[in-house]
Amino acid sequence: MALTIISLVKQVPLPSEMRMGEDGLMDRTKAKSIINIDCQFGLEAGLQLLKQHPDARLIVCSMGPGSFEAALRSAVAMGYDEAYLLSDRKLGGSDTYATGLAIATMLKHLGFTKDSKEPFIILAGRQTSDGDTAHVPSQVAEKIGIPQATFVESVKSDGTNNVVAKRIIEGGYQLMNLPMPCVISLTPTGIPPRKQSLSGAIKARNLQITTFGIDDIGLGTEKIGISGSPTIVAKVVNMVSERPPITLAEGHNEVALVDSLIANLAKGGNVLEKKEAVEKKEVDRPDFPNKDF
Amino acid sequence: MTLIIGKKVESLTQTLIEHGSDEVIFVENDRLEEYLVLPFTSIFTQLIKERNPEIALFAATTSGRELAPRIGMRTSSGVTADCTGLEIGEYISKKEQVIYTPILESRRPTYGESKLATILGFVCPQVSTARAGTFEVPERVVGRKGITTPFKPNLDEKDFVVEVIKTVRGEGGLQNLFDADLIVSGGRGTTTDSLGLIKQLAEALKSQGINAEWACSRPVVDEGITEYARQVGQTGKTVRPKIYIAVGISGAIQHIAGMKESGTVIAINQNPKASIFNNADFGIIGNYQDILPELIERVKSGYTFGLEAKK
Ligand SMILES: Cc1cc2nc3c(=O)[nH]c(=O)nc-3n(C[C@H](O)[C@H](O)[C@H](O)COP(=O)(O)OP(=O)(O)OC[C@H]3O[C@@H](n4cnc5c(N)ncnc54)[C@H](O)[C@@H]3O)c2cc1C
Repeated sequence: MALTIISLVKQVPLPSEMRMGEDGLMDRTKAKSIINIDCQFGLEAGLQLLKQHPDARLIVCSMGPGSFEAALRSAVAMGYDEAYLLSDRKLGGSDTYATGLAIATMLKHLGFTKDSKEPFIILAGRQTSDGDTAHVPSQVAEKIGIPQATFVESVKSDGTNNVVAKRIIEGGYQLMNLPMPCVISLTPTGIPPRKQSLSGAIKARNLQITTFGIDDIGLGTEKIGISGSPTIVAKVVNMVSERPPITLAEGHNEVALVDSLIANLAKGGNVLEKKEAVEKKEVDRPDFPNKDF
Repeated sequence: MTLIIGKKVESLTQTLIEHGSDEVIFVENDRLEEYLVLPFTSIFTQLIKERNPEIALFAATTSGRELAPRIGMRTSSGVTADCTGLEIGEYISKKEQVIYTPILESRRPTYGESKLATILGFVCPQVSTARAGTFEVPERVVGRKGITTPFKPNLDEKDFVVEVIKTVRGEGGLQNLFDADLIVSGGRGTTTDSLGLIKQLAEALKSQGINAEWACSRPVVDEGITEYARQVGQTGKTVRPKIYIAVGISGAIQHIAGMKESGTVIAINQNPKASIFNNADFGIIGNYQDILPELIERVKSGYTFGLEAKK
C-alpha cells in the first residue's frame, strides 16, 4: 500500500524585511506573494519522506482565492504530483476554526479519514507569517481525528507505518513516535526547501488543478465565513509608542556621556506609563437586552 | 479555577492557590508526566463539559499553542492566539439587537506587530493563549486558602498512541530572562566582538548582586553567535525587566515587540536616527566600543542603575 503525502500550503505576502513607515504603519502594498516560509519547509519534509517511500503519492492542498494556484504550481515544480484548491466566496472571513474545519472536510472528501485503509501523512507549516496563530494544523488533526505533532523540525519514516518527529520545545526538543495517519507541522529550521526543477516547472505549467467549492465537498455554510466563524475581529487599532520622548546624554567623550546618562537616570521621570492606548469613544449604548452566553 | 495535570502535581496545588487560584483541580497520573496533546485534550474537554467555564486560557507555549486549538475544535470554540492583553468587555450586536456581556476581549498584535486587534469569541468557553512574559505573575500570598479537587478523567487507550521517546531540555530555555531585573541586549552592531562587552556588562552587574542577564536581537542568532533562547522579539522572547539596555540595536518593530513592556529602556547606538531612540527613555549616541568599557568600569565601582543588590 503506497503512502500518500499531503502538504498543506498557504500563499502569503512576502514578509520582506518589514519596517514601520513614517505613519507607524506597515507597508504591505508592494509585497509580492510567496508560499508561506514554514509551509515551504513542510513541502520539503514531504519530499524527504520519498527516501523511505519512493512510490508515495504526493499531493498539495490549499484553501483561498484563485490566485493561490500560483503557490500550488510552485509546489508541483518542487516535486509534488497533484494539486487541490478549496476556493469559495462563502469561505471569506473564516477564522482559524472555520479554516481548519473546511480543510479537514476537503481532505475527508478526498478519502483521507481516520479509518482510511491506505496510510497517509499530512504536513503543514508551523504557522503563517500573515496570521501567526499556528492553529490550523491542530484543528485539522482534531477534525479528522488523528494524532499530531507540531513545531517539528524533522520527520523520518521507519519505512513502516510510523514516523519519528523531532519536536522543538522551550529550551530543548522531544523525539516522538507517531503512527500514521497523522498531522505534522514544520518549523523553518529543518531541511531548507529545494529549488524548483526544470522538469517540475514543465509539469507545473501543464498541471490541472482540481478546484472545489464548498458544495462539492459537502460543507455547509453554518460554520464557515464571517458569520459562521466562532470568533470575529472586533476592532484593529494602530499601536502607539507608549514612551515619552527620549532624554539623550550629552558630552564630548565617553566619560562625560556616561556621567550624563547616570545623571539623567537619577532624575528619572521618563518611565513607561501605561496610558490607555485607545481613547474610549463614548458609544451610545443602545437599549438592547443583555445576552449572557 | 486552574487545572493541573501530571505526575506528583498535588504538591503544587497550594502554590497555585497562593498565586491567586480559588480552586485547583488536579489530575494525578504517572503516564502523564510528559505533556501529550491527545490525553490532555480529552481531560480538558471532560472538565469543560462538567464545569462549563465561560473562558479557558492557556500559555502560548509550544504545548499551549497546539493544545488550545485542538480543544477548541472539540468544543466548537474559536481560539485567539498569542494574546498580549485580555479584558472583560461587552459587544453590541446591531444585527441581533442584543448586547453580549460579559465577553472576553482578547488582544493580539497583527501585521508584524504594528497593529493591535481585538478578537471576540461567541462560543463558550472562549479560548485564548497568552504570550509568555507579557503578563505579570500574580503576587504570591503565602497561606492563601482555596479548594483543591482531584479529578478522575476517563482515559482512552487510543489517546496514548503517540510515544515520547525522549525529552531533552538544555539551559531551561533561559527562563531567567523572564525574571531578570536588568537585561543588556546586543544587536548586529555589537557582533564585532561577538557580544563580548555585552556579556561583560551583564557579568559586572551580576557581581554587584544584580539579577542581570544578557540577550540579543535576531541577526545575532542568525549569525550563529548566540543561541535562539536569548533572542528577544516577535519570534523570540517577550521580556519585561525593570531596565532594558539595547546596544547596537536599530529598533525594528519585531524587536520592539519583545521588549516594549520593559520599565526603563536605555539605548546605545551610533546612529542618531535609529528608531530605537523613539522607543527608549534614555540614550547615548556613540560607539558601543567606547561607551560600554566606561559603563562597565562604573558598575565595577558600584553603580547599579538604581537597582538594589540582592545578596
Ligand atoms: C517575521 C519576522 C520576525 C522577526 N522577528 C524578530 C525578533 O524576534 N527579534 C529581532 O530582534 N528581530 C526580528 N526580526 C528582524 C528585524 O526585522 C530586524 O531585522 C532585526 O531586529 C535587526 O536587528 P539589529 O537591530 O540587531 O540589526 P540592525 O538593524 O542591522 O541594526 C544594527 C544597529 O547597530 C548600530 N551600530 C552598528 N555599529 C555600532 C557601534 N559600533 N556602536 C553602536 N551602534 C552600532 C547601527 O546603527 C544599527 O542601528 C524579524 C523579522 C521578520 C521579518
